[in-house]
Amino acid sequence: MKSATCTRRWLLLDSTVGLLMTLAGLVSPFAGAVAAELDLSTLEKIEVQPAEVRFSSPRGHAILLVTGHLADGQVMDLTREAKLVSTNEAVVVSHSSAIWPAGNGSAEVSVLIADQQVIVPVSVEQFDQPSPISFRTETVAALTRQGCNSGGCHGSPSGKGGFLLSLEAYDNAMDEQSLTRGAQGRRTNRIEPDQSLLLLKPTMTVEHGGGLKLNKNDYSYEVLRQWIAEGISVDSVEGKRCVELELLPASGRVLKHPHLKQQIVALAHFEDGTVRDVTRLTKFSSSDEEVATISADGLLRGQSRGQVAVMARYLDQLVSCQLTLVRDVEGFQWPDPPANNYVDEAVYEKLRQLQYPPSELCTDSDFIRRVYLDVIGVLPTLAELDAFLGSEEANRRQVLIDQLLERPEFARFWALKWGDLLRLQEKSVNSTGVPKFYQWLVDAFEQNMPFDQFARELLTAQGSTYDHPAANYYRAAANMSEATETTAQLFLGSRIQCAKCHNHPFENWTQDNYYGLNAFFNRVARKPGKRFEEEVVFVSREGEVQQPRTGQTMKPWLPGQGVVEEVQSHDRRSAFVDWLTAPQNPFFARVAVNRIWSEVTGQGIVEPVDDFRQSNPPANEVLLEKLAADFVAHGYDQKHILRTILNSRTYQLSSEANELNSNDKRLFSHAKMRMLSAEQLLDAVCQVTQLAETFPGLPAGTRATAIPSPDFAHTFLDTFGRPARTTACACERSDDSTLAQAIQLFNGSMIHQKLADKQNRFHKSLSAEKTPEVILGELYRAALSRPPTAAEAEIAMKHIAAKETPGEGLEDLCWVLFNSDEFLTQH
Amino acid sequence: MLTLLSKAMRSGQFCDGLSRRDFLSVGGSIAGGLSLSSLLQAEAQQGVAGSHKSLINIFLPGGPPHQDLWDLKPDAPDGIRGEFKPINTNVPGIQICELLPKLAAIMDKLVVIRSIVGARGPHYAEQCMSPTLVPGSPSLGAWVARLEGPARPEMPPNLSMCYRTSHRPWGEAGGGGFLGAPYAPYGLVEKYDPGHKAATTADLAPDPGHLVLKDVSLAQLQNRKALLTTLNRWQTSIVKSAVQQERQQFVEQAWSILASPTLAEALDVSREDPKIVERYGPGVPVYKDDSAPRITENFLRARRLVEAGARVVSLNFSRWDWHGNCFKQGREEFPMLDNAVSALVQDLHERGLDRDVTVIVWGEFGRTPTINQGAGRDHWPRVNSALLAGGGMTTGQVIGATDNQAGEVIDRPVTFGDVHATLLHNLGIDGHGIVYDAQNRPHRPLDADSQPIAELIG
Repeated sequence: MKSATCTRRWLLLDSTVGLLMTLAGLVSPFAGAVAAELDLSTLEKIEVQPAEVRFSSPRGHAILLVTGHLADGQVMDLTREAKLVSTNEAVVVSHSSAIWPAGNGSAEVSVLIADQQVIVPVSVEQFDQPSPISFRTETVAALTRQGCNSGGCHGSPSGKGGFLLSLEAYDNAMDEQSLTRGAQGRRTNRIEPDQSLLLLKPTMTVEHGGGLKLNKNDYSYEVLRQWIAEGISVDSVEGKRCVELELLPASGRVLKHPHLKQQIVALAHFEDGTVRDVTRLTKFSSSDEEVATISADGLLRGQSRGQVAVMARYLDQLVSCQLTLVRDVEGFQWPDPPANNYVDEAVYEKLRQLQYPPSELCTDSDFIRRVYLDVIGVLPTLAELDAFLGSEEANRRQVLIDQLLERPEFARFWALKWGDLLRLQEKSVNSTGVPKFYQWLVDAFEQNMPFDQFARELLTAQGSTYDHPAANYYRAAANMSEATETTAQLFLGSRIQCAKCHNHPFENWTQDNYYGLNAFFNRVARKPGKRFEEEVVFVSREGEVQQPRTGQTMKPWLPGQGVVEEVQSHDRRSAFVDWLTAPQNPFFARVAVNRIWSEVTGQGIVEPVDDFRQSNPPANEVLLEKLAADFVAHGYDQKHILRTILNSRTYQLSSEANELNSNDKRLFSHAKMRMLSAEQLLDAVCQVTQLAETFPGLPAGTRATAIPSPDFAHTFLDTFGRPARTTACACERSDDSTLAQAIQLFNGSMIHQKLADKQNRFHKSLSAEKTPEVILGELYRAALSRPPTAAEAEIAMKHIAAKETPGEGLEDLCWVLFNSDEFLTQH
Repeated sequence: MLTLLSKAMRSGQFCDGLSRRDFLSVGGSIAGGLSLSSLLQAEAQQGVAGSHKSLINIFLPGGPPHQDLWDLKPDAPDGIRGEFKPINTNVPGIQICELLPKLAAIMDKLVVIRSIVGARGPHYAEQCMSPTLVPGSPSLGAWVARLEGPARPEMPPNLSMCYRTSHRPWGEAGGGGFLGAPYAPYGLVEKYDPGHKAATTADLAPDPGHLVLKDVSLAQLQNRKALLTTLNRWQTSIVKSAVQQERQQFVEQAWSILASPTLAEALDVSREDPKIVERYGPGVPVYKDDSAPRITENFLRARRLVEAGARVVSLNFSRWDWHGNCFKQGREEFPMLDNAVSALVQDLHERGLDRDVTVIVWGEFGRTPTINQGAGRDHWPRVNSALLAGGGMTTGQVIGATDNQAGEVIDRPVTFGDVHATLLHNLGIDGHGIVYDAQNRPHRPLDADSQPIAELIG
């Protein structure tokens, strides 16, 4: 009986909401359909979070998150549909999906929907005690939630319209000054709170450059108004620190169409042990609005299938909740391809869940070109190509991978990649340092130095940079702040630069954290050595880091671990490296395997590769975790991880998308096409024409992929995005297409000279009296690792025949090959 | 109105007002699948591309003497007052140097700013090239190229005729900053080494380099391109990948530029009416010491380039760091400047371009009130000046004033950022819109407190 009434009530409620939302144009028809089709016939049980609520202030407020479990194992959010009934309205009352206290005592709230019921015990204490608004935990949180102190508004370094707040409320003292005393105190009017500029402007009662940011019925308005009315006082710091922000539901929930909405609840855990529902003071955002949007009050609405992270900020806490949204795709059938190893298992699981069938296996021609370029940076020669394509061995791909990993070019090509990140260039490490540091890197890859040792040798290096090349790690950094930032970016996958001056706006890094991490490195210093431009890296006996804003001396601090009270040695770097390279370190292995993955697939599991953060979740958590665990289990063996990836079917999939996976850009359902790097491209042009480039100061025959540093101008390399190596960011290597590149390929003198040179591959072959057909085949195989198709050969031969000389025709042909997407891309 | 919003804007992360300029991206990742040609097409349909706004930035390396050019102080004592007399202009109440009679005759088409403050001490040419001095910040031309793209497919938007100089900052037209090399100005005179010996001004003529065909003929290239289209099986047989689409828009533009004589013709002053060329006056094909040569034809080329579709053209002219012989040099240089700038402004008006093209003539700072032992004036960053024209501005006025020795600004201080804000405004760009860099940090073209000069843009 009871359940029937409540069923009608939620239906009414929801259709009203749906209508209003549709009118406001806020909601997709896709989400609107959810409301109309709500079907609870297969509801098996409901679950309510939190299971118990304790209020310790008269201003408490809690949302009860209600989850329905359906017979087919799916879940649905019923928070806004369930009815809440209090057993004692003198203690607790409810409205819609929330409850709040009415008096001291204990009571229960029944959560009812369909024929399901769950009882939530509620206790209320200190209802009769005064509970003024807390500046530190409520006022500034309201400003953050409304966006007042965001980077584009008053949180920008110079504020807006003369009103300056600290970015996302990182500096309480500054905000206090600005709110209570700034603008001659006109921002807050204690006598007539509603007349405060702080409330008049964002509500657009008076003109506001930032537009409407606050409504009078917003909870934030109530908080700000009451804080002003109570006398704009600032409470003490004691016990007020929020130590954890917990989101409900927990990460990992899968929502299936049509049940694509989900309420998110934010619970703040404070230093003094209290837990409060702060959903109304939390700022929510979605990592991908094409997958799901989230409203200011925490209601997520799915827009399409995919994975999304909801970011929630409350004070200096930034956490995320990851959800997967799935929907049946018409015509989808899992093709059940074989899995070569755990990489495929993890990738398939995700593809299957989100219903993207993987592409076919790539051809042997595609494979050999791809694996050569990825592992050693160059194209296969004709002999290598013929040997591979002629092989009948079933395991020929596996054999080729093993061979390539032992080639000397491998070490140089990977030293090039790391040279980019370590700023290996003369301005950073001087001209004597360049070859020494480069050789150190080449040796490390040649010997397959375990990656933990690699990190340790770089991070704990000291002595002359001429005798101990790894010490160039510190020479390349302008100062120890920069060395700290580089370390975080390379080994923790974190771009912490923002936190130098203020709490990071999109990450969980506070300014304290920045200087705490810096305390591991600040004692490192450099002094001149005896030889020309020699520098010696050493570690001072003492030296502490001051947080510039608070003036506090910062103890060393580690992410996820906190302040380190005691460090044995005056050189704190070893303590850092011990933590970094410990098997259970949550960053090190994941960041390393992600880089390797990205190098050979063109896309990180976390992308960008040095931007690991709550709000940027991995595309495939299981895959990343398995690779990391395997890396640790194999003693940080980089070649092992490479071998594993290269042998997976996932790596070997075609770049040709099928009808159902062409939209997938993140889940590795097909190989990603990308431009060759500047060095790869130059080497490829040289190899196709058989005319080497010479580079200043380097032995003849040096390949572009084996150049130690970019310390000489080279129009072609610079045009195609060779990085100047001035930052530790992988993003410095530009993979953007540019106009200048297109012009180089059309009209560049380097290409022109190589085509016209009588000593090039096809002119020499002509002199050796090979037929144009044969030469055409050689050019195609050299450039594209495949012979021309019959149709291509016919068109090409017609073109050559129409020219005065075959040489002229072949020059055109070779130009065409250099300008073809197939040549210019890794595919 | 064609508006492409960045992701950040859609989620409402910031509160600035925005114009379409902010988030229109050409070749960047934001425009995504929209190719350059489709953008241009879309614009053409809306009539946006009918005329385009542009800027000619004339940089006078070394810091010209403000008090001898635009802000004469005839009543100042000896040793401060210069040798030159002021003359009346065609705007009552405004006087400039007697050596600038042609400019005086068209003062109604000009603006003099006498009160630029905030110059940095050393020869920071970049403050005339970049709207902010944050390290790694893009030059003004780079912002325009990034936010506007090319006005015509066959013309790169951002061009420089700044000669490389042995005092390096004087030859730098600013880079792409975090926006990247593609947006940096294309250097038309970069092939000349500093101090290059030339017999005639033609020996220092701009060279479009790879932007015009050299080694192959147009017919040959056309023939090759046709073959490429036929053979490029990847263009038709598979779904186009993002990397191909991105490349394709540049291939099309590269083709437009190479196949079109527009750029080469714009640089060719022999195609101009000789009477008009003559107006710009003679130059001197010699690098002035460690600075740039005096090629007055480049003023004319700048006009021809913006007419042909360039959005920003920068050039450097002569050397103005007159620690000695201020007046001797003035007698030589001022008439050249008078000829070239007045001819340019007059030309723009005659062609009806005065509302679309902004001209600015300036250096990095002013010079000391006190004349030194060598009859020179030294660096004086406390005051700087600029001459502007066109851009739809309210001309025929002077902005700001200095004291009776031209040593301190006493009225209407204007910052370099304010001048850039005015230039950006004339170009139709919201200088406070946000663009994100590769690390997702927000950047704006202007510092927050830089504002267009209200008296000019009303």
